[in-house]
Amino acid sequence: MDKSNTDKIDIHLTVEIKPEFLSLFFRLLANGFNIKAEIGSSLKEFFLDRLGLVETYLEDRVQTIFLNGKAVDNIETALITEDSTIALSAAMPGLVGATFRRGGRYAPMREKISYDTEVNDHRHQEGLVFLKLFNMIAKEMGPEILKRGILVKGEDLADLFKNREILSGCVSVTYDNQIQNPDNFDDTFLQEKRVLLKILS
Amino acid sequence: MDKILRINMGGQGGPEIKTEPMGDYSGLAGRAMTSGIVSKEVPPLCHPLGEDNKLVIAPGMLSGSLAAMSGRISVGCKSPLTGGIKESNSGGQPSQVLARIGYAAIVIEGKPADDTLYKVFINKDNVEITPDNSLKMLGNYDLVDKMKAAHGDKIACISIGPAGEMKMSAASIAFTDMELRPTRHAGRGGTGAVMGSKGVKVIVLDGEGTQARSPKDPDKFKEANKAFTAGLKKHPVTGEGLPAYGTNVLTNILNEAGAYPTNNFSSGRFDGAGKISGETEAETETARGGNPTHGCHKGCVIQCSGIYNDKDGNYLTKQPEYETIWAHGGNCGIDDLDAIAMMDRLDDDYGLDTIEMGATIAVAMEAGLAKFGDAEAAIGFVKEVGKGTPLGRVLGNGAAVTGQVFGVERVPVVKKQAMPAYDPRAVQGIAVTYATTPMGADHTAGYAVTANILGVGGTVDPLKPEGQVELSRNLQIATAAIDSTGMCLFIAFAILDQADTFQALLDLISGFTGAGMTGDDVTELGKSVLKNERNFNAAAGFTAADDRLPEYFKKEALPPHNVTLQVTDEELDSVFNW
Ligand code: SF4
Repeated sequence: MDKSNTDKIDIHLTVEIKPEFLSLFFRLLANGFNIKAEIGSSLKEFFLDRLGLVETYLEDRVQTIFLNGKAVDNIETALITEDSTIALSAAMPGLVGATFRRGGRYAPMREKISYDTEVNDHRHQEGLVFLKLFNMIAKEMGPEILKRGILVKGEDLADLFKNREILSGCVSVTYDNQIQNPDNFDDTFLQEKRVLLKILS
Repeated sequence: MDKILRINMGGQGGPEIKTEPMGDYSGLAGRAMTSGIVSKEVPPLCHPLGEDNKLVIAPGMLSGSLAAMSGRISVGCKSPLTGGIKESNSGGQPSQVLARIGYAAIVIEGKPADDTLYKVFINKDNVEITPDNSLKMLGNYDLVDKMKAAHGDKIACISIGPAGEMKMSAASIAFTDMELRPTRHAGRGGTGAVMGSKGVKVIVLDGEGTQARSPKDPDKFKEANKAFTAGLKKHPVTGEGLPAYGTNVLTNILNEAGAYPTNNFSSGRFDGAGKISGETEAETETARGGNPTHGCHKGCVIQCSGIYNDKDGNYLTKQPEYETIWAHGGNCGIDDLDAIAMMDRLDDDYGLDTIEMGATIAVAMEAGLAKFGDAEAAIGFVKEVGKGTPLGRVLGNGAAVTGQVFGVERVPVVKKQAMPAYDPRAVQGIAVTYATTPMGADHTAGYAVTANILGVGGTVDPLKPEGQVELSRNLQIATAAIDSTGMCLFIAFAILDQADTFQALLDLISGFTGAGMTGDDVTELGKSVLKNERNFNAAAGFTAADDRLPEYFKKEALPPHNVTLQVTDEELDSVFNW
């Protein structure tokens, strides 16, 4: 999904799904989605206050963090700007995987693409960021984030629904307060729409 | 593992078999053994496909024992691709079986009088070599089926496909996995061409009646093995990430970092990355009744591999790993997992290095032979190689040759070997290793544990610019040592982060050998291997000018971060000042 700086919502879509099918939605989390954030806050504030992560989880599990494609070592000094892209991953294999870990001993190997605090945007106002969750992090944070709702492009969602297996796992699909039968679900109405998607399982 | 098997293919009356004691090579195994023999016995200026080159196959130090993760095997020779020394290693079953039969190395030397093709059969009592021209131009899959029919399914095979027989520089040597499929390869550097030049199509190992190698101190060994396994299981990379997604879990990360070489290293981001990521691959395998968590040999507790089925649920290939998905995928602009898996299958069958082939096809695409993203054309190119058409012969000799034939400037090679899946402009530390390893551009040559754990070369100050050089040096030393133990390099993540797991590894080695092993011993082992390799290359005519990346990396900025290579030649030349 291309990131977009509008928080306009065209469609509210809520899907209730059997738990074993939930992971099929994790692809949306890896592709990225919009979520509200306080512009000017630090990444750490965003993780703790907005995403509701606890510090030990952040320290132990979220080993690899990118802000606008640059590997972040210090989440207290890295600041969020309007439309930032933030990506979270668990510890990665391989020498190169290890170089991307936060503050790791291999960090010098990727210093040319390390995040360097270059903005000082202390506006502290509400805005949107584009968040990507990869691998174990998607698995662990995904259920709660999907339950709270993510803003995605309708095309990305329609693309996901092309896998009809997903629909076979849906208990109900509700949009704009109308409950639909998943068997008759037609995704064409999603095109060119901004969708607030909630997944319940 | 106390003897060396020598097969002289150039004997007067045909191949001659000789078993020797270890002699000068006593105590060596894996890469230390292959590089030890090659650097001592192969004239550095010889033709890689000529009678003076030797093909050395050596199990690791702990192979054949009950130590977890100990089934890697090393293959060494003078490389037809780089012209320098080569150690290429592989997983699969043969390392365990060969070690249990008792051989520390097989050395194939000399040159056969004609183009007769041979089969070698080895069991605990006997070694036989027989001519068998019915095997000519068989793919590895059919070949192994034939061996199974003849010798039963308790064997393990080491073989070459048509690419090796045609002596192509991208030819690999295949090692069968636990299901007796030829899916594990000593891929890099054209070792398959050297086996082809010796006229050996397949080595069949029958471990019937052999026992696991016994440790000198069984209690210490058993205890250490338990602690080592527990350490691997509790670490998030070796206990969770790799088993769940395999190495391809890296696709999303490298892409996010802008370090994922795309369309022949012209960009660091690939739009289709999500479609070929480890997460998508694992999901696809599970949905089709395959398996994303599988080992390549018995005793692997990490299980980074898997089984990839086609759309109808039939076995197509093993789970292609990150490097393969990248080489045949993003580097060629291809985001179709099934097409990539098909190329992996073809590469395994023809006996080709997936990294070299993917990089070569990308260079061919850059030359205009097909468009980036054209999966059908890419599959067609691999088939041309398998058939040995004139175009296939060019492509099968790798990216450097293909670039030269078609007049392409952007050819991502060092010492004529294609770079793997990390753009060195984004991750400049890897540029140092690509440039300076004696192997040619190689990612595994710096894959392991670092200074601060092994105590190699002092502690690195990450804030100093020379940090990259020091890290690369120390990583190369540590990797050479691990490659000699027969341990899978993926253990590195657990021993990197967990001091008790590293101690368990040292205890495991000393419990097995009976000799104490310290971090310093590991360092000395790694250094001596590298010294042998560098001396060989120097005598083969390599100079500092060969320890360089292609010039365009300094000139062409890589999107999205628009970085160029900043590492200086002086820095590169200081890597081996130890
Ligand atoms: S971790 Fe992967 S490469 Fe290593 S031994 Fe296991 S399956 Fe083979």
